[in-house]
Order: sequence, then structure tokens, then C-alpha cells
Amino acid sequence: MKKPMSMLWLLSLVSLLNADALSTDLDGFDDESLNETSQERPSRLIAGLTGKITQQVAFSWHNDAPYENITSLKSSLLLDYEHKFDNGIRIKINAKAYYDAIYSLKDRGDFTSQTLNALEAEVELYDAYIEGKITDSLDYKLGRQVVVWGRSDTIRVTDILNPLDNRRPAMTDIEDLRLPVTMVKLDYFVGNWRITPMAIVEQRFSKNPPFGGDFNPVSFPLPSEERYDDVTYALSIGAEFSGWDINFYASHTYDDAGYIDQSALIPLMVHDKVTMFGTALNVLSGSWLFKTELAYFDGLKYTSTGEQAFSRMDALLGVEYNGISDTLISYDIVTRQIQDYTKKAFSRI
Amino acid sequence: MNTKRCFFKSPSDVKNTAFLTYDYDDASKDDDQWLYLPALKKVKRIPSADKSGSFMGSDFSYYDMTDRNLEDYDFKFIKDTKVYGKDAWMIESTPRNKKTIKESGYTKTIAIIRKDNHVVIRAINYMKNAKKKYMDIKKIHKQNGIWVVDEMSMTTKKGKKMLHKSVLKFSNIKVNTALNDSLFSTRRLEKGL
Repeated sequence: MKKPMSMLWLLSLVSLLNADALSTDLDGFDDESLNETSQERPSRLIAGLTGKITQQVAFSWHNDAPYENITSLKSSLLLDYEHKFDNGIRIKINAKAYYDAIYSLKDRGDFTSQTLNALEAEVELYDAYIEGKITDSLDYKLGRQVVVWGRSDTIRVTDILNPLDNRRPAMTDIEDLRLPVTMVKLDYFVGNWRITPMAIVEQRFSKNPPFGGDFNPVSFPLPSEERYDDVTYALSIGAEFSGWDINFYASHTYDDAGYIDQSALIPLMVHDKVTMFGTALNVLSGSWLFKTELAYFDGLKYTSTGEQAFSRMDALLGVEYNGISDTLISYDIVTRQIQDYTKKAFSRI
Repeated sequence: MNTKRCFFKSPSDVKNTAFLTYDYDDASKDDDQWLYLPALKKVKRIPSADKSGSFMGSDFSYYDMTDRNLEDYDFKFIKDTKVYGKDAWMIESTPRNKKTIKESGYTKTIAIIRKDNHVVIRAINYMKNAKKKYMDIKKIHKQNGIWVVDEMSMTTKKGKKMLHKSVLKFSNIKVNTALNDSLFSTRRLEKGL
């Protein structure tokens, strides 16, 4: 008889403790009376216009003058305007201006003219496009824009349509990294599939570290760059399904890297048209996202190999893990193989 | 299947970010989720098995933004109570397996449900790290026969100390409106509101 009574007493005690803990937990609710004050945002001077001011400071350890200590003191202003009309047509335009005071604060005479021209001040038009739909299954987007191909956020394999701002490698904001180009883009939707033909009407190339700059070790300035004003073309076909998606790409565009044509009297940096076929795939499994990209390029030329044209195969494997709260772990690996490089390079000698 | 999409208009660091989720009725099937990231200018598929992470830096998690699968929980009636002057039930729900705990980040939830409209008005979500998240619906109204939320808060506490609080306000709510499936697509995600 004694044992059941003890059990009962113990259960009662546990029950009382639980009730007490629950009561304490329930006290955690905020019993403040509801604040009915309107917190509407103040209206803007011009609807759709937003801006951003950024101040960037860069400091360098163990570097030679004039690139020691503070190497950048850059003030930037970004203005962005976008408007969507009732009929669904949207226009967007944004521009960025910056001034880096460090060159004046140090001695401008210590820097090359190429460095000052490239890094001291700039006004740049970024996005400038109009988009809308022609039919329920056909969209258009015309103007300066960024089109991102591929799945990787870190390494570019099939993402070749927009050049990059590489003047200060790894120090450019991700939103300013890709340079928009003017193109005519159509999107045709059928079921899960999207077919996107593009005509690229502005040919521009990546901005590289200037001669004499902190990130350019070459002891002579590169030759001036050839200009191109013809139209190039690209096509993407892709589909999204539950748990996976796939894209196929084809393009005939200018090679962004280019090469120095030494056959001319005055050497010139030239870019030849290159054909690319590629694919990208995402597969989702629980907290894991597997990514792969494959690209085949044909018609590549290099400074060291003259008029010899090469083909190249790039392959990417990547994985993202999202199984830890508020954390994303991503790892991408790429292999790049130039076909017959040694054989063709030696045939020149 | 439940589909949701969100567009962020402000603050400026998340302006034009958009979120799309396909929440499947089949609990064994992973949700499909995409984010449009204006800085990257692309739609990115995101793994969805762990939904315990913060939704856009708020106290709400991705899990809080989706509907719970009832078959993932055991329920226990605790007592009759009152909430904001209305009769209510207090019900404890416990995840049936570790997968649900990992996915939600919650080891247990105590919910207070109004008897007259069956809306969960308050809930305490218990987390593994001794933190608790208090969900509190401050304002609701009935529209075309459907109860909809106007304002809710989520407060993260450790002991009695408040760590952080987020308030979610809804306005211009429309119910029983015919929506085209194409609204819930990555195509629309890119185009913004």
C-alpha cells in the first residue's frame, strides 16, 4: 500500500512542477497594449527613386609605396529608378558614381595615368532596360542588363554573357561585379520549359587591373583594345521540376579574355568570336543541393600561340549544405582542359 | 500543395528580393524553394530540409512561414483557458521524430487556440538551445467568412530576457480571389511586384 501512495505523491509533485514551469513560460507573453500608431513610411520625393551612399576603406599590409597602408578611400553614390506601369511594363535604370580620395591624399604623381583613369573616379550606367510581355507566354527585356547563366555563385563556367569588373579583384561588391550589356532578350514559356533567345548588341569586355596598379604585376602596359560593334547571339533552354532543374546553353560571342595580336604593325588586344555549348543542372536532396555545369568552347586563341585556335572543356561540380540553422556551406570545384594545347603550342616552334 | 511568394520592397538592402515556396501535401516530399537575389540578379534554388533558419533576418523562421504537417506531431490537451478575453484550449504538440525537430528547430510547442474560430492565437515554441519563441497574434478580423491575421509578433527569449522581436503586419488582404498558377513561378519572381 505504501509504494502506490509514494508513486502518487511523486506524480503529483511532477505535475505541480510542470504546471509551475508552464505558468512561468506563459508569463513570457508580451501583455503590452497594442500600439495602433501608424508606422507608414514617409513618401519619397520621386516615387520609385532610391539611392545608396557607400564609403569604402581598404588597408594593405606589407606592400610597397604607394600601395602601403590605406589604399582606397572610395565614396560612392548609387541612384536607382524603377517604375511598373499598370499594363505590367517595367522600366529600370541605375547609375553609380564614385570618387576615391586616396590618390589626392597621397601624391597623384606616384600613380600611373592608367591607374588614375581606371580607379580615381567614374560615372557608370548600370541597368537601363524596359521589360514586359507580348503574350501570356512571351516576355521581352530590352536594354542594358545582366543575364546570369549557370548554377555556381562563385566560379563562372557557363556564365559568360556579362563581363566583370576585376579592377580590384575580390574587392568589388557582388552587385557591381557583373557589367550589364545591351541586349534584346525574349523568354518563351511552354509548360515547365523556358526558351530564351538573345541578341547582344553591345560588345564590352571585363575591366582588368590597370597598368602600374596594385593588382597588375606586368612591367609594360597592354596594347589598346580593338572595338567591336556587330551583333552576337545566345540561346538558353531550361526547365524546372520538383527537386531538380536543368538548362542548356549555346552562344556565339566574343571571347572576354582576348589575346594580343602580334602580327599587326602595332600590337592590338583582340577578341575573336567563340562558340560555346553548355549545360547546368541542380538536384535537391534534403539539406543538400548538388550543382553541375559543363561548357565546351571552340575557337579560343591565346597570346602565346598566335593564330592557333583551341577548344576547351570546363566542368564544375558543386554542393551546398543547408542543414545547419542560418548557415550555408558551399563548395565548388572546376576542372578546365584545353584540348591539344601542348601539341599545337610546340608545332609553332 | 500550398504555394507562397513574397516580395520585399524595403529596407534597401533586401529591396527586390523575392521568395517562392511550393509546400507539398506529401510530408515525405521536400518543399521546393527559390530566392530571387537582386545582387546576383538570378533566381537561386535553396535546399529546404532545414527550415529552422531565420526568415530574412527576422524572428520568424522558414518553418514558421509554412504550414505544419499534422501527422508529424502528437497532440495533448492541457487545459481550458482564456486568451484576450476569449475561451480557448491549450494544446501541447510534440514532434514524432527527430527529422521534424531538425526541420523545425522546435522540440515542443504549446499553442493557445480560440474556441470560437479555431485560430492559434498564441504559441510557445521550445528550442533545443533553451531559447523559446513566443508567437502572438495581436489583431485578426473576419473577411468574407474567413478569419485573417492583421498583425502578429514573434519574440525570442532566453529565460525571461527578450533577445529579439519581429512584428509582421498584413494589409490590403483579399480573400476568395481567383489566382492564376503562373503568379507562383520563378518567371514572376524575377519581375518583381
